[in-house]
Amino acid sequence: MNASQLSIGQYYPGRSWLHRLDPRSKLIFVFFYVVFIFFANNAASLCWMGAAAIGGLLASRIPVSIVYRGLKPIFWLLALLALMHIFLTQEGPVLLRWGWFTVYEEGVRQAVLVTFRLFFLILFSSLLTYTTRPMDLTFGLEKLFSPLKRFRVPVGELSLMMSIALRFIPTLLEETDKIKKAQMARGADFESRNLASRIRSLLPLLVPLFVSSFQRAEELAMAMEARGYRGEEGRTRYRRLSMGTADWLLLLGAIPFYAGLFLLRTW
Amino acid sequence: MEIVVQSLTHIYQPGTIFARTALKDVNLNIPSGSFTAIVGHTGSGKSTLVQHFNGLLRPTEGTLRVGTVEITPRKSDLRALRQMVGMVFQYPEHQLFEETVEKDIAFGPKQLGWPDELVRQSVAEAVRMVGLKKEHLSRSPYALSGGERRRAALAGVLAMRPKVLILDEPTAGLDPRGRREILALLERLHREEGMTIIMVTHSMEDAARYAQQLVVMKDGQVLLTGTPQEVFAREDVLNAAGLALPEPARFVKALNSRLERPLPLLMTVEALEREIVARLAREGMR
Repeated sequence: MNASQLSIGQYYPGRSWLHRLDPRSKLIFVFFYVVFIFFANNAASLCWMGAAAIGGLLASRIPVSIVYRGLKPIFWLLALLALMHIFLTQEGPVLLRWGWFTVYEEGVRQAVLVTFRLFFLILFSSLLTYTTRPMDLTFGLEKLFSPLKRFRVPVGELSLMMSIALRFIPTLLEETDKIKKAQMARGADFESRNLASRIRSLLPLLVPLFVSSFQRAEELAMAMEARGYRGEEGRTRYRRLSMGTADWLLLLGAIPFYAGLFLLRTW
Repeated sequence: MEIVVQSLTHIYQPGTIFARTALKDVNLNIPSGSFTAIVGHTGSGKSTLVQHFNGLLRPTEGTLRVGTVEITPRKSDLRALRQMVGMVFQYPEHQLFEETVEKDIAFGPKQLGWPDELVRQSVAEAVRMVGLKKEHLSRSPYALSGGERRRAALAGVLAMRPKVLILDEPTAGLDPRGRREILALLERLHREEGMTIIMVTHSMEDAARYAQQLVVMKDGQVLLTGTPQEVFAREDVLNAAGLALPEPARFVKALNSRLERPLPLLMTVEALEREIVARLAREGMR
């Protein structure tokens, strides 16, 4: 809840090759990455996918320390997951017996596989948000899903809702920080180790936050109407997306890349 | 309580590309029992500076001393300090959250763990100081008018019986009457209760009228400190900080270009009125 803390996947301004790609080509590439990472089932295919993630990280020119700090909370989850796989899988030859714990070979294999799959997945998809402005991302999504408009899916409205939500995250964080400070000045204790008093201390924070959010929503709706917003029908855009050579190259490159994955995996 | 600031530097989000130096090597001395106004353009670091005074922010470098408490870049428990140094943020009515005004004002004292009797007493005292009426107490804070809500928020801070009161733009967004009431209240707290008052403001008129000491800030640095007379004598510095003289002084300057014997540069309407009346009495209406 600290606005000054960088969180995972928060847009990191830059002018690298990855930053300049069209959000749509990035979205498509990442979508297939997220699906296909689960097809990587041996060392070679896992390294193949991992190389892409690390290559992407280097190409994005985002300081590794920033990404590391963002990923830190994930490491606990990954460690927990790995332990569960090691202790709960009961297949293959026994590697270790200790008390009533038995570790099987398949368990270790699964643990390594699942951990690295998830790690690369999170790393790669966070690169998408690290290098793409949230507004470009939602616009890209809207464009990709625009064929669904024919089936009466309110794509435009959904993407507008997403933009608004994203737009107000920093505002809300700032507001939270402000109210938190104001209540701390009045003696509120947000750092107490006592869980009960910590939950109670959330009330002075949440009530003003809710009130101001509703006020803000109302004002926003009015401001939009005042500026002529009448729904997505016939709305034109100031910002336009354009697919460049690099984008088509990335999409074309995706075919041999994922074909390589399927060649490397064991069937 | 005296506040001494020594080579204070504050950097937001240090070590990232978002790093921003908000305060740079600030040195300042605020005497006990004084009324100090901190003036400066938007983004000059005023708010960041005052948030150090009760330990809400910690210096990136340098130290502060508030009374006997030292605030250093290292972590320490500063909750005791927050009782001594009351902080009223911009638009403090946004912090109201309880069901009734009375409960909200009692929040601070209760957090301090004071006995019920003392809490009741402090609340009653604070309510009297800010001039809220009895019937306001049982209402929801959201049922009050803007000016009343601000006074309720102010009472919430006063109920903690601080020795120092810091106010960040206390009159922002109020109508002229609300402004006058709040400023008169501060003046009274200073005079009668002997509180040290530190007010962040854009209004040079308010600064001229109420403050004993002025601190002019620009780009995270203190350009000038001194009495209003000393500060307003340095118009060049004020202009560099993006500020102007108070309205009466600007009026006198414009008028002086047409007068044979110029008027002295006076900072408040009342002083100017007295001066002009005295002169007219001496020389007769012509």
